[in-house]
Amino acid sequence: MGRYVVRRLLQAIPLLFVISIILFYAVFALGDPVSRLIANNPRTSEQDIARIKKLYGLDKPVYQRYFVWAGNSLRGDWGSSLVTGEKVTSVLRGRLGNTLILMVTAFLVTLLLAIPIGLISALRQYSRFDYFITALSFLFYSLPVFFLGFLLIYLFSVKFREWGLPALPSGKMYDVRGERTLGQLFKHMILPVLTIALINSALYTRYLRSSVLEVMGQDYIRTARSKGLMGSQVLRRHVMKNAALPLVTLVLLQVATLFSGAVVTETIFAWPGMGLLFIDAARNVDYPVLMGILVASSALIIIFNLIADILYAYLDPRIKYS
Amino acid sequence: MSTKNNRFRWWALIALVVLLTPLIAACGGNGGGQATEQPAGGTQATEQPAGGQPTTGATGGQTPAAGATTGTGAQGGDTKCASQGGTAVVGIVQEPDVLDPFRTGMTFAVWVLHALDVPMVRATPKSGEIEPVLLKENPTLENGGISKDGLTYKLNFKEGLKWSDGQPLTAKDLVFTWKTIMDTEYGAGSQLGWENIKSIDLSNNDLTATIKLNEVYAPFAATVIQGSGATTSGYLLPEHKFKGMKGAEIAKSDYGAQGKSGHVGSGPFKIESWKKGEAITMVRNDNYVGTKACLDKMIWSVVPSVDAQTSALQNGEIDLATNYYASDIPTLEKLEDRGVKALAYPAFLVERYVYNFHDPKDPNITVDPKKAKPHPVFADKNVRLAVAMAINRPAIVEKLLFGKAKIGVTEWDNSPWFNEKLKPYPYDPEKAKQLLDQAGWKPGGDGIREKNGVRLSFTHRTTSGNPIRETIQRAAIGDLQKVGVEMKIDNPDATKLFATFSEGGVLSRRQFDMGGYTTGIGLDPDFSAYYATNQIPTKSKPGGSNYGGYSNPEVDKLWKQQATELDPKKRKAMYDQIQQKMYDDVAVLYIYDRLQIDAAGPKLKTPPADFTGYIWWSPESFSMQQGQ
Repeated sequence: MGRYVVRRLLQAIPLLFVISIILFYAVFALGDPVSRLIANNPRTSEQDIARIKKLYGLDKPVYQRYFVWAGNSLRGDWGSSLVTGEKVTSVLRGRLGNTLILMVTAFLVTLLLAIPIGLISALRQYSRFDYFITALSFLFYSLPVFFLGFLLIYLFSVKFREWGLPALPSGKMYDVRGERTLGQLFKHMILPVLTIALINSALYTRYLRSSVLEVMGQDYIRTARSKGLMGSQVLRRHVMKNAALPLVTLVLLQVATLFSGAVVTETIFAWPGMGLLFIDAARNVDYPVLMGILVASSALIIIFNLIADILYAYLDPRIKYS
Repeated sequence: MSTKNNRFRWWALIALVVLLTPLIAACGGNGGGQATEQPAGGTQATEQPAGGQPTTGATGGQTPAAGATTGTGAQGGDTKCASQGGTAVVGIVQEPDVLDPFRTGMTFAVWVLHALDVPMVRATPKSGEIEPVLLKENPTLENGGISKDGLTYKLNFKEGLKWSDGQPLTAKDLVFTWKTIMDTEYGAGSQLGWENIKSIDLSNNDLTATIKLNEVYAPFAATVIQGSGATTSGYLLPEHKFKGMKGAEIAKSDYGAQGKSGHVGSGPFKIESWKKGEAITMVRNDNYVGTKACLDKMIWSVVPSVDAQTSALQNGEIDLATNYYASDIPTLEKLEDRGVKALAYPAFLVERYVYNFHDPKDPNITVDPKKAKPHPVFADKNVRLAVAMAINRPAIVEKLLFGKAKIGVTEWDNSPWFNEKLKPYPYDPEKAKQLLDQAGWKPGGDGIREKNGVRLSFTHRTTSGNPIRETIQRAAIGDLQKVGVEMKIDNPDATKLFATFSEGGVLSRRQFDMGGYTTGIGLDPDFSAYYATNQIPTKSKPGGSNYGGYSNPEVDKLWKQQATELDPKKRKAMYDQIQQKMYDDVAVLYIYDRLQIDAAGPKLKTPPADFTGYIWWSPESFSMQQGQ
């Protein structure tokens, strides 16, 4: 097992290397950072452009810029934002907290909704409840995030206010006019959390339902039942553990994305997290920040992928790594 | 569940990232609203020439025609407070990059800076009128502020001026600003105007600055001394804040940095806090030299989507939502019964269709336009005029822009420099047909005209994903078909369209038959970078913006003359000629004059826009009715 982990980690190095090259070129395909930096003036002279390109090292070809970037990154220097001059690590740290508050809450709400609903749905297959949940989860899963987001804003923020009901704020973390209290944060979190949780739990419910159904049809469940085990015991010991297997991948990959935030949701709800930072950086072709976000998320996905595989071995004794 | 599966997922990850990237590009391209559709720079501020213009108006006239605009001036409103006190929240789509007037290029940062700083002299709502703020008067030839030879400018600062931290503001800060901008390490967006300064001498206890120039440059005052709601020209940096710092240190200081509140300014407000990604909170600056601000507080709240801004406005979470498209006007009008007011001002922004005078397929076009083949259809003036007359611009303005815009005439529409004699090319499809018939373009088998085997067909390229632009394109296709002209569409991304020459920009490399985009003049009318022959972008001189390749030696001569003409009346006469000649040549087809559209909530009262079309010139006049 230990050797397996080491091998996987070693494999991750060239992988990350390749990913970073692709990303670097992709980021520069977004446009020319200088077009934003030259600023303020359509009559910016050629000298101005040349001066600024040189200042930011953008006069060199992309591959040379990559080597400079990669060399510095290996030494732990991720560079500074082209836009604000702030260190990339500090830029990311500044947004990470906000994103985690939103994403972890949304993640927990998702699990709280999806696990019981998925289970009940499977245990009462083809019941009214099951049909209702199936319809609902297909509905939510096919809704684009921005649509659901704006729908919730329209209903709970705009319309509720009109009807004189207690309305929710349409965005941001706190009321900009008032104090930054925990109550404010809670109120502002409801809609974005709901947006993410409704869509994700629709997916999770489907996964859980089908994997529980699959396990229930297995011979060992029948054996367990015929041994005379109680229904709840069968469920807990045999069904749940086995049905959780496919969910582990899903959940762990989701955990990796908790850090990178939700780009669309954060944009709609003006949530100052990593997703919004990413959009802003993309708009400005702020390549050090973009690379920081993208490479960090890639690394997290690789790591959590590995963790998922290790967990498999624990959950399913049939799987052995050597 | 073996390692095999994992390898698959790795590749999926890479594929995902590759797939995601164009998506991200699309987000980046469209998310900024108007900000992205502008050439060479991507933000609206980018397009606003940094300059102002050598005008004075009230303080004794360098204005060509003060008050003699086309009558579309500012919409209602005055600068009186509705009440004293209160807080106003302004929504902005993007967080300012840096609150440093000479290092930012972002539209929203430019607006926010207007609350923190004030230019030495500034544009007012009255056409062509410039009012002094930090100076005693706007320097002109008449008041002796500009010497007869145009090489010396004398700036008299008011006595007792203070920065927001109470330190004295003097002409020493001007010298410091000049030196900083010229420091390469500081990274100023543009050194235009400033690089022409030979020396600045101080006298009268540092209250008088005598600026000597290397050469006569008519746009100097507009680029360095004067400001307007659209630009950050005319601003100063506080020397005492940066004691002993070099350019690179200034750029890294807390002066304009995101999330820091170290800005020291001369404007009606001062920064209280900047919560990154959330809001910038400002309080009244009691050291401000002008009328003290009506509001106690002004908060700039980052709301990254214009649609979310509209909801927030309805809910009273913000009091002003900014940067709408003309296509949003019906939505805003529906909210009128909830007290939402749409504010639309004619900015100096004209949506134009640029004819390419050369054949984009000829490789010489990016090397030496003189050797490039003329464009197969647009080299013929009759075709250019016929296209202009066949597109139903009155209907576009009336139906697609809800009657809120005006048909474009010249580059200088709505400005004091506009040639009043010119009228839009009329919509007259019959005349268009006649012109084409006379020029020998005869209808072919499929109804599209031909001449010597060349089909009268061209490709139009503008930014993709912009609903208004695409609707107008479709209307134009139909209109042109009626007179036997075929227009095809091939829209690249905004970033691709406006990329610089070295990055392969569609406009810069002149890879279009007809190109559509918006730009406009600033306070100064000089637009030679877009129309002079020596500004056609080529490999050896990639910086020009004359994408169409228009070339008229008489106009070139006028460009040269106007650049050194300090008498505004004479300069205006030259601009009248430039406009007349470009109009007669059908150099460009100006589709419509774009509006700057914001929306205010029920309680907020905003000042009228300055004559360049922006309300940001006077943040001290923003006020809230009945207190908060």
